[in-house]
Amino acid sequence: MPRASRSRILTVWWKHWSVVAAEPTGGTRGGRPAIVLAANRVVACSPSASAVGVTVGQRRRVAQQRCPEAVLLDHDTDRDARQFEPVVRAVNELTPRLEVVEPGWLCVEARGPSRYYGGDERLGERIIATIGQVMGDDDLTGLGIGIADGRFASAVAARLAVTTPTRTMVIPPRASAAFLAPQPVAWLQETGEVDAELVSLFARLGLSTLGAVAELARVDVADRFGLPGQLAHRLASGDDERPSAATEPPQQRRAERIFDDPVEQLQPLVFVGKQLAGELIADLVRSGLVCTRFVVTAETEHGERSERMWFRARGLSAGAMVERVRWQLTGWMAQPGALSAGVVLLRLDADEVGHDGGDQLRLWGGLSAADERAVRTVARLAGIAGEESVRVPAWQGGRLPGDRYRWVTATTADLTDADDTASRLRPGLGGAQKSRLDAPPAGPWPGVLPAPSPSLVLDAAPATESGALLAVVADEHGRPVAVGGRGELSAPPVTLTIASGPAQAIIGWAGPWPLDERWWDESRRRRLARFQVVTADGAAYLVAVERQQWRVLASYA
Amino acid sequence: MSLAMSLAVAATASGSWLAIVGVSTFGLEAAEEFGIPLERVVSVEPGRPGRTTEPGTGGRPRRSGVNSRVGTAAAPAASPAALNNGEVWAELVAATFDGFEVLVTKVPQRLNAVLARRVQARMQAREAVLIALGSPGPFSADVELHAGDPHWEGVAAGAGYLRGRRVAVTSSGRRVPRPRRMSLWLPGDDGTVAVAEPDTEVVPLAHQHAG
Repeated sequence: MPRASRSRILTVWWKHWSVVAAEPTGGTRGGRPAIVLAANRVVACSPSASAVGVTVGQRRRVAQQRCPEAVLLDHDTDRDARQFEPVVRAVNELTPRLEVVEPGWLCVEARGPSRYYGGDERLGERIIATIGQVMGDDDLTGLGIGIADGRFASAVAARLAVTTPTRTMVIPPRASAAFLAPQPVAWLQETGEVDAELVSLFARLGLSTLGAVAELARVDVADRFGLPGQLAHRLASGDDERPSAATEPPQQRRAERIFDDPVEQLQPLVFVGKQLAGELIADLVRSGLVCTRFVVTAETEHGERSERMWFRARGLSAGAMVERVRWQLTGWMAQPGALSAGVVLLRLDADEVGHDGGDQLRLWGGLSAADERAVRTVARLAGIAGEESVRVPAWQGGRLPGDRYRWVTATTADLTDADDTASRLRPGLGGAQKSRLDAPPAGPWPGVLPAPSPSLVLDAAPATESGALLAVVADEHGRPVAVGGRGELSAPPVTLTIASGPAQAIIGWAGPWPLDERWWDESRRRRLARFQVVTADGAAYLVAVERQQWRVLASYA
Repeated sequence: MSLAMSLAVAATASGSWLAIVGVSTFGLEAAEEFGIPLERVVSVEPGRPGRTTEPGTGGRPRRSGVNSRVGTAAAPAASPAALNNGEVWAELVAATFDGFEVLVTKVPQRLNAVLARRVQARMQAREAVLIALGSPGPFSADVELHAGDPHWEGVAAGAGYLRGRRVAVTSSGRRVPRPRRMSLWLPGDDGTVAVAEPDTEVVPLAHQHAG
């Protein structure tokens, strides 16, 4: 389905850019492998590390096991952007129409420049040579340049070009579909920003190559998979992501701020950028549009200017816009001698808008503004109170209230990753519907007490003796009630004394529910009998007796 | 505590995040049964001074709307030492408002009024809700809720299990002209909060969640 006007795109892609960006500051030029981590997952690694089996997305522990000598670096998108700035500027000198997707990935409209430099191959060589000058010839490992019709095909070509000797892969005009056909569907997820779930569904349906997806009738795909499916189908057929009708915005959409007092600090500028992004997005949302490309312009009092185009196939949220504003400004400010005065103008232009197909709002994994704010705040709180202090719940499973969920350090979990969250809280999905006795118990934990669960859990330290409050449950003569090996009571319980408090009359009780956990492990074995007790003041407790000692495990407050 | 949880349900279920500051005894499973999505729950322990427990003599929570406090009035607060240090608490709580709409905490006993005003201003600027367990201290609560006279259903002498609880919830505070009182299932037999018996002026639940 070739279309008349097909954009010719050149993609510059640097594999594992985060590692390259971290090297000058990380001091790993000695040849030690390096791994960059975010939320305990590998986001990038050096070639020597990937040679021994470190892959992106791996957990930190696995990566360290594979490559113990590696230097571990924290992921810092600002640093990535700062280090990428010289590359962007070098390429920008060769060609004016340039858009940055993310640090380490930029796209160029190739038709004009390649005619000027004498062909696609020559343009590629030229760009590599220029980047080589900026970065120093020796370390271009990981750089790839792809030229093809459409962004997606050129992004795939650039990634494949990384391993070729010339670092360049040129797909002739109108050959994008043929080039993509034998490629695996996983590319859709990797460079096309198609939902991982849809991609894995394609694979499970036996559509293992992009060609197989493209062969399906477009109508059928739209029928079955809706808008995301249509997008995937378009990409797989070598068509560009957005129909060309979406290229020109019908009217100028921009948000700008002129500062009476020149601003020299980064933070206030980013803050203003945030407001501008909010205005711009609000304006677009009113018209049902989504911005896929926007231009950030900043100007100083002395007329220095930084103008950059940013692109994201999926559309840019306000948060994503602010992030890019920050990247651009950090890069600009880090550049020696670029600014001789404070910034007086900041402008965001929506350059390319399309109709919002609703593909941004996903039930799972789509981050709302509240989510993004919360995740940022979590990081900040970890800075104030210490990483250990900020924790999120994780399912553990068990028969005592303190065992069911445990708290894990928030920085070890990726709060933005829906899959990670779902696996952390495994039973949480259907948990709200968990019902009482009439339904089978949820999960493989026979012996759990039925809902409602206690709202105050005192036994949060399982297997240690300190977790719960000492108590005494006594019979009418004031003797502690004992529970025999078969669950028989020495006498009905009459009073409950918590810690050193007064004895309270018991007006209702249920139990015992004996529990014999881990009988196979002498050191961790627990044998106890649980009771629910309601005292005269109406309060209810979960108490247990273990080795003749009564404790309050939880309270139904 | 149940009252605090039931207050947070509506907000968290519609996408807000819940922060629990310095309440190590928060029963996650109970929260889940009330309908709080645990993927949006984060706990912050000021200084994490080891494991602390408090006698959970609960049963009498108080709660409120825009700035709310819920009280476990009968609970003698054996709160962590660091939490009593108002400054640490105020700093954490103020930072938490940046990203969380709902916050469950205990107001430190020795919090001075200046810090409290600062925290309150920040909270109002962020349009967040503070649900304070126990005494609101120097804060002036919009709504104070007090659950008293609890009556558990389901257990007899040695038989059954706890099924539901009836409590009499009283609301008072700055935003409530006349104290109101009603009887609620907290939780009811099906795990949700329900009106058992509206005796005096009925306060619709939706109204209570407002804010």
